[in-house]
Amino acid sequence: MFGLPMATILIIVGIPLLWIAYTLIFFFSTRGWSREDVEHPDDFGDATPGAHPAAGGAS
Amino acid sequence: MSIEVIFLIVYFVAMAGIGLWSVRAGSKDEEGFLLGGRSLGPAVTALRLQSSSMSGYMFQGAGSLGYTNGYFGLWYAMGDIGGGVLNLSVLGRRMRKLSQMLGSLTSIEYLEHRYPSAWTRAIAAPIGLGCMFMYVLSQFIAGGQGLEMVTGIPFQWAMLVAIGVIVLYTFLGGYLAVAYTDFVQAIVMVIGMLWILIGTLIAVGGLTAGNEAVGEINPNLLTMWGPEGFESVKWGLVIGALLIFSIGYMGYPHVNVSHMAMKKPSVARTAALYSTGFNLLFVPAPYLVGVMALVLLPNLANPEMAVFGVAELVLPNFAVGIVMAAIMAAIMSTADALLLQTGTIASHDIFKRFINKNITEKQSVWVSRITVLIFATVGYIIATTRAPGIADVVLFATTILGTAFVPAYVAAVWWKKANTAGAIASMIVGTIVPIVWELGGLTDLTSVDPMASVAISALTLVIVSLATQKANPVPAHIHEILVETDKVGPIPARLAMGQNSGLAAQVPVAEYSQTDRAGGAHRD
Repeated sequence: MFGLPMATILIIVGIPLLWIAYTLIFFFSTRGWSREDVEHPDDFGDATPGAHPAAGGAS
Repeated sequence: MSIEVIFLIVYFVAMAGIGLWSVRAGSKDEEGFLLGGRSLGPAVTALRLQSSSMSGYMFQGAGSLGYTNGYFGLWYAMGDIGGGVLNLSVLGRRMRKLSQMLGSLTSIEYLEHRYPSAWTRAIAAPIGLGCMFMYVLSQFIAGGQGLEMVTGIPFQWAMLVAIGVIVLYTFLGGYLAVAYTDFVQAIVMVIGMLWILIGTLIAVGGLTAGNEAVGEINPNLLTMWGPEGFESVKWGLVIGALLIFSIGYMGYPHVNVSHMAMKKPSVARTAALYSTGFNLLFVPAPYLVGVMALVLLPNLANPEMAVFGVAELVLPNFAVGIVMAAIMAAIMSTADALLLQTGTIASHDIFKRFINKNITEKQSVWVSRITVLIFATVGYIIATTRAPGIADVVLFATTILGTAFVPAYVAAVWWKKANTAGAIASMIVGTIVPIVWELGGLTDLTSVDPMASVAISALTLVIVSLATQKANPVPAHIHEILVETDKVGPIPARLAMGQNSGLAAQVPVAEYSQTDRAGGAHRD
């Protein structure tokens, strides 16, 4: 096909097809990511002391 | 004045115009200058990511590989087509979310915030700075040579023009200017490249006729095994070719910053579609043109001129002008990203972090601008020497970026046990091993590309992290943030970190609110 050996055709067509499949699978399987597209709630009032990591994490 | 020069002038003026337009938004504060205010949508994110990763190599190196190795050169394209979607799917959402929670403004600072220790930045910054500076030198030289070839202006002046335009819009608008010019440049690149490909296929009488003509020169050129045939195929180089442009990009600080600048984490999804679409159109083309150049220009003295030589042969003059603009677009879209990142690392990750912690945001923006100018000047001076072997050093520098940083960036978002000791060890090993591999002649001996040493740096990160879990645990607040990163949901305010470059580990905004707001800017 196109004057090329079959192995060449399989590789240069097959690998891009795999990337297309990967892209589509990624796109459709991550529809739920729109849940992150909201402004974060201001929950200062809800924060408990234990929820605040210590500043002593610096090393 | 030739039509090519007219097209180039129009192109340069357009890029400078975008720079001027983005000044206001890009100069408001550090986040504005360094990340475009985290405002970029999927199309700009994707095309910016692609064009900044693809330099003049795509028009020169890729064509040369097709010309000298036939379809074997397409192994690089096979990895490259998926580099964008791989980067966006593996790092995109998580790095965007994590970098916002950590309050990181640069991709190097992000590493220190994730792996808390001044040593993280002290090691990452020079590696990133050195490698990216070498990479940008190659783009300066390529830009100067390209302009010299088309306009006849002497190399030193041609390079000054190219650098001058890049510095103008980078200096003025920072990341926003770089992102929008990269977006436009990606469109110019794909139009130019497709035009050449179509013209080439018409000139050779179609794909089948062209391949048959190439097969008469050497039938092995039509295979994926190289001109010497299957028995001589160097599988190590094949693996390296697949890896270098697929996973290698995940280690480029100037590419990963795209994730941090996205408008929101879910932008990564649509950006992946744009990225793969662009790559399918653009990436295989220069390699194919290089192969067909064997038929059209059989006695080319410099294979790197294959694409440009074919363009001059098969296209009308005005189209050659567009192609020249496309080549400059490829060069400049990479050079501007590199220049901005080197300036950012020098000003933000070295000067502000270690030398003067108390500068204001406005001063910091100006320090970033001035360092862009300084690096451009130093780069110009060095590039004018046209030191021999610089192209080889540059290719090597990009390999080191991949081997040193890919494990650290990937583990940062996917493995909660990746700790500071593991990351630092990985970066050091990822820098030293490819150097030793190459200088020790192991590439020729084993036929394995140094890029494969990313496996060694990844293993180092895993082993050292596990061995030092007790001595160097991942801090509790980092762990909490990583748990939040895993979740798909909005960031709780209590986990948004205040921006304070003076700290290796960040302090939550909530604590700033309760204690002392002075001295640390924070995001409301």
